[in-house]
Amino acid sequence: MDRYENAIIRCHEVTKFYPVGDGVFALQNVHLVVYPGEFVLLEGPSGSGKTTLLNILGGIDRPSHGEVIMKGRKFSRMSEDDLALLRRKDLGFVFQFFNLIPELTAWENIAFPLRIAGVAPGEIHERVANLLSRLHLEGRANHYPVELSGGEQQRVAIGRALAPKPSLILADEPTGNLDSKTAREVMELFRDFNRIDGQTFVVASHACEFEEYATRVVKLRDGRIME
Amino acid sequence: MLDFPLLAARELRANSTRVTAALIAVSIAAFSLVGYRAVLSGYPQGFAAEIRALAGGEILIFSGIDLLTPGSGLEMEWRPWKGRPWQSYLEYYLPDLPSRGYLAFPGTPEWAPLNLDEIARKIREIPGVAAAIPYYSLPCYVETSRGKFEAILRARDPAFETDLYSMSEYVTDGRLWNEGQQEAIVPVFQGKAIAGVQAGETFQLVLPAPGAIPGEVDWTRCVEFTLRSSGQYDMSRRLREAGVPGGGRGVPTGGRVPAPEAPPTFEWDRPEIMVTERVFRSMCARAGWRELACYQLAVRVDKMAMVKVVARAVRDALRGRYAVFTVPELGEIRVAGSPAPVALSDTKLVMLVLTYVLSGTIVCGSVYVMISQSRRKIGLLRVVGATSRQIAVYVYSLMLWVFLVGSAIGLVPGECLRFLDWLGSELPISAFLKAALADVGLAFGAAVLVSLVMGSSVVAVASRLPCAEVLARGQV
Repeated sequence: MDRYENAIIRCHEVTKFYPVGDGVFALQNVHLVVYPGEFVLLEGPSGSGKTTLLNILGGIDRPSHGEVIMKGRKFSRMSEDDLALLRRKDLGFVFQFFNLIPELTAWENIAFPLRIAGVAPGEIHERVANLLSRLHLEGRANHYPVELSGGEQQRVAIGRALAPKPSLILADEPTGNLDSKTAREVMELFRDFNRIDGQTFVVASHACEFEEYATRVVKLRDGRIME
Repeated sequence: MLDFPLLAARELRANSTRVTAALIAVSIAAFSLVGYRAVLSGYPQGFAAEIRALAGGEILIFSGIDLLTPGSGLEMEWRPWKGRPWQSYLEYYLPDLPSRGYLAFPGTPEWAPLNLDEIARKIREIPGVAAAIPYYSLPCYVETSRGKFEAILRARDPAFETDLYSMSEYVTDGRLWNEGQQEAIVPVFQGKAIAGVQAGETFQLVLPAPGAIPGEVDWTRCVEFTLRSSGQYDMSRRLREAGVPGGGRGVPTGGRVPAPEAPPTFEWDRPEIMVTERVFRSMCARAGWRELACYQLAVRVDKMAMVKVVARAVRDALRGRYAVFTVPELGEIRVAGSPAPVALSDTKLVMLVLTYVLSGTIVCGSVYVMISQSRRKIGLLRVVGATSRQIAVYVYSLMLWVFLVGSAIGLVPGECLRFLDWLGSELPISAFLKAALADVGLAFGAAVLVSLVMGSSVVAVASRLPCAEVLARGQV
């Protein structure tokens, strides 16, 4: 019971229904609990509801039914600004298409969430420099996203997600836009941060080849958790 | 917070083509602001030249009229109008005055002769004031073989007949008076001299004696003078030739005799028979006027471009105890062909506000397009933790940058213009610097104000965009 209460995030009977045509259930009665230090791999084919589940876990999307609770706070009772403040502190996102801000350099992209959170400049400098080093991006700090390769862009995006030291990082197909070698490098980075720093990850992927990196694999099919 | 202005600046740099139109619009608005303050506070030198020559200056000061001013908490009182048209030009500015009276603060002086010493003391030090010329006049009528005609006898000091103010410019037949001679110049309306008096012809002029009440005249004790017309003057010839429509009210003088033969065609066609001040004084002395009352003072300025500024300063110096008007205001009215001589609202100010509103609309439109095309980016900012307030800061930053940079661009030529204007003046450099600083403050202040007010609608749209926008397809 104690462990359940200490979960980072819990979702109860989450259903997402899209009223398109005859209606589509993207998720049906999904129950998922993520504990600190876990590396959860959400695995399933395209259309199985992985992205929808991640978006609901991150407060980007709202469920049609059910509840998401993080640190004792119910998402359904939180405003957009409350969710933004929660994400700023406790949630990091890594997207398939990187979603870096093109007008900012790699250094500035990583520092951005810290700046808007009001972290002291000295600490920002320290954290960003450390992340750039661990992500092997020291020489690319002052490059803009267009000047970086796909793998480098994704590493910057990981740095941005990690910078605020969130409780949970949600990664949606982080390797989907990378070649297999770079994809493995990204997954190894996730594993390193998980093992060394105890960082909790929920990573969505359609490929089962990454199961070896995860501490738990959750399989989704047609919006339902299979195992 | 600092990252949003930085991000906005970089976003604008990346969209420089899109914001160019907005920058041009804002720079024009800022330039207009400086131009409005620096140059258009006055008039071109030749503007309203006729009426300035007739009045003898650019600014007129009248006695005892306290115009209703907004923002005053004091109770005002209604007063009947006791002035006479021959005493001053005030009724051209306030045509309803004789019929409606006027409002004044309790305790302020009634319509009475001006205290010239007091006024001179107060306005002497005002920069831009070149001279002050009192207006001395009396009602009279002209008697010829063709009948009696109502008119105004006016004194002109030949010492003040200089350059822009000389009546010789408007003499159509004959010449100006000779000092020391019993000579006069007579006005021409629609090509006809008053009472048909030709140059070189003599005519009889009847002056009343002073009345029992100050400011009133006594027509029962008249004195007749014989004057020789040295010439005729026509203040409206050039305007008529230029096709400017006339249509004045005519100028009653308070006498008993009907109006002149040919009615005045322009508001400022006054039936003034002009003599030198020395002749005027000797005639008045013979008619029993021991002291000459002055109800109007014309102020000359160093530069026409400073007329409004000097008028404001004069108004401030006299602290609302006198009515102060710029002479060219009536020129504007006449040129506009307005049938009623009412003071115009400050159309330049209205144009300036419209320019800012237009530039604000262009900036808001440009920023709105940028926001519409950056919905995914705003969604991303929300995902990484930006609140709606921070999004508002971001959007306001976009607009403020455009306004501030545009204003700075517009201020450069504007201040060059002001500098040239200053070079042609006799003002100290500190006056230029003070005015330039005020320009900068006003331009940036207006930029912030317009951004905040007009940008609020764009901010409202942007700050309500949900973080789910990040899921949209396309580039950030």
